[in-house]
Amino acid sequence: MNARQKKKKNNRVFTNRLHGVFVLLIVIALLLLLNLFHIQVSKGYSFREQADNQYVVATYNAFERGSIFFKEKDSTLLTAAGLTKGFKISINPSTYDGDIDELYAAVKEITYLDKEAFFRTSNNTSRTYFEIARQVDEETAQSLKETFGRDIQLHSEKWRSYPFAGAAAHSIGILGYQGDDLEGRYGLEREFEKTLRRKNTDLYTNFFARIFHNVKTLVDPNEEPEGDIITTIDPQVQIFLENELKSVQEKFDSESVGGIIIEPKTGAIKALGAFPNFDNNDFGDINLGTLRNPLIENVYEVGSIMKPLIVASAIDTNSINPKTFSYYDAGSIEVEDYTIKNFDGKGRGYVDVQEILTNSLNTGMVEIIQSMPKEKVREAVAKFGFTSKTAIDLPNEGNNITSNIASNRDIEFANISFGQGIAVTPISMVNSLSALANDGVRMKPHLVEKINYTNGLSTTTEHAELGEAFSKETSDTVTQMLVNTFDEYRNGAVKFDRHSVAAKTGTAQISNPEGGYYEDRNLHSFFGYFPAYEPEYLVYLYTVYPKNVRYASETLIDPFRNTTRFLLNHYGVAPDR
Amino acid sequence: MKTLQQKLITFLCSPRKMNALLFAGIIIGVFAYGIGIISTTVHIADAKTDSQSVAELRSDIAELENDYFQKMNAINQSEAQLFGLHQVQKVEYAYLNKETQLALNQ
Repeated sequence: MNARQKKKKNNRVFTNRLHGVFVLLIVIALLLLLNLFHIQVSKGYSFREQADNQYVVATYNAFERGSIFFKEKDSTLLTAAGLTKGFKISINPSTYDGDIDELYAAVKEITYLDKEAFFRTSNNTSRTYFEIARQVDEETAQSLKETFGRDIQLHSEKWRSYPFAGAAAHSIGILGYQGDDLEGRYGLEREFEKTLRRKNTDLYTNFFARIFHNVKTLVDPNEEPEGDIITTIDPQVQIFLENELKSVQEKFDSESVGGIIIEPKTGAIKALGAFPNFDNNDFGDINLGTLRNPLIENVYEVGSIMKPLIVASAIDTNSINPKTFSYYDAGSIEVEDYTIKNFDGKGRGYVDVQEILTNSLNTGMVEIIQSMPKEKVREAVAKFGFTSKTAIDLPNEGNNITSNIASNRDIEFANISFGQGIAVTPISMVNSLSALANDGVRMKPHLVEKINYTNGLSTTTEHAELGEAFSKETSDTVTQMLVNTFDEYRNGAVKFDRHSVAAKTGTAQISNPEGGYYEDRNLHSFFGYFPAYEPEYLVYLYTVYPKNVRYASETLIDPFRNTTRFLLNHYGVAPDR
Repeated sequence: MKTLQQKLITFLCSPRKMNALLFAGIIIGVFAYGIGIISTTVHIADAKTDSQSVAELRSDIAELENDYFQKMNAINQSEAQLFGLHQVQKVEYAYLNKETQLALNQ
């Protein structure tokens, strides 16, 4: 190859390389153009929005938290606890030169203002920051901004909100400050604090930090992944139940009222409510005691709704034969030094087990429990779950008071037979009664159906058995008796023609802290399940110290019937007779 | 095709050219990686922003649903009667997806 040819070849190589570099530059330019397109067109809206709102002070808002959902019957999720975005409004008193009276009048329209403090602070020119309103919605905030311009500053903020404003407030709970941290203090907010809270891996954090944060929660068994809670609560059922409870409280001026609707076969709670209630968006002025969930934390002597359980255990332990058992009812019975009477003091002659339940005869229940060995009663009370907790997924579950069964005194056992002498939480009672509706098996009650984690995984609550209280045959026998009992109420006026309902009322005396029982104070309770032989729902209601009324049949039958009818229609429960 | 392959092999059979190509590859790789990082970060941020927006919308929807449920429960019989509605005294049920038998009363 001569020098000319070599030079020509080198030129060609140089030209090719030049083409290569040119192509490379074109590619880089295209990529940059693509990125510019992304920023200007795809992301243009958000930048434009920022530009439009340039006079809104961009403050860093760290508050993030997972959501809690209700679940409708068609599986639609509705937010029970979420986040709301809005603004806080401030002024700089040292530079403010607008009309302070006009500002006061405008802000007073949207929030409470202490007039004297407002004018004192806003006229204090040594201050540079005065926060005049919080949690203001966007529309109102923008309207104020248009009116007052640069004299006021808007700061973006988020806060916890409960769109159902009080529905299932005891179950959902509230947030409160623990030191400097805003944490769940009651209800699911507290029980699932680790799942709902969000760590500060915000928009400005390196995306590697976010990825490794999620990986850590996946592999570290001590790390609780972040997620959202889906409850079993059906909002329509919850609202209906609460309306019924409220009407009972208002009508009878009750001290408190509560109710639970549960699926006895799964333990899933569809509604759980109590009054007095509170709005979890605004609970500043309420009594702290109102925040307690009485259905989980309080214990009550429940009265005659205990009778079906005692009858079931007597049958299950072969202490009585329901087909042959009978006794002579004289209206009262002597136990040790005490006289136990029927609710009306009247005797009914020879009666069987069905009549004992239908007429709620205390004397008959004493006869039944006296036919059981005391050890069997103790075992039965344990099988009902009264000596342990249900482990429901809510905080602060109360301890049942069952110490009387340790005694060998006949009077203690006689009292237990009609629901006095031992005190249990409403959720514990519901759990035991559910065994009657679930072939004798108690299921673990739960409010959380599923947790959806932010890492893409999820967990679904398994339906766990807590134990067998009695056999299926026994529960069938008692269910039949309870259907007859409900059909007899008000001479058949309350029964459902096409649906069988197994139900029972209960009226208990309320214990006096100074000893004994109040003469004029009662706790009324009512439970029922349906369709009786293949139950889908169990409803439990109670009211403490209703005024000017004596028996649960007067206070709770109508709310129970209304609730049952609503559930039959709402869920389209097929008739069974 | 074979000619093209031969040309390519001939072109690459030089350490300088290979180094240049490697260098260019590294440059392109770094750029692509940078763009990938930016794009991923932006999309993660977008995803979070979107999920927050969805959560806020869900809250708004829940408030509306709550209003609807309250209004639905506020309806009583006397109001319903104003619209010509009345409570059915005897409810008849029909089974779906089951054999149906009809009896003719004569």
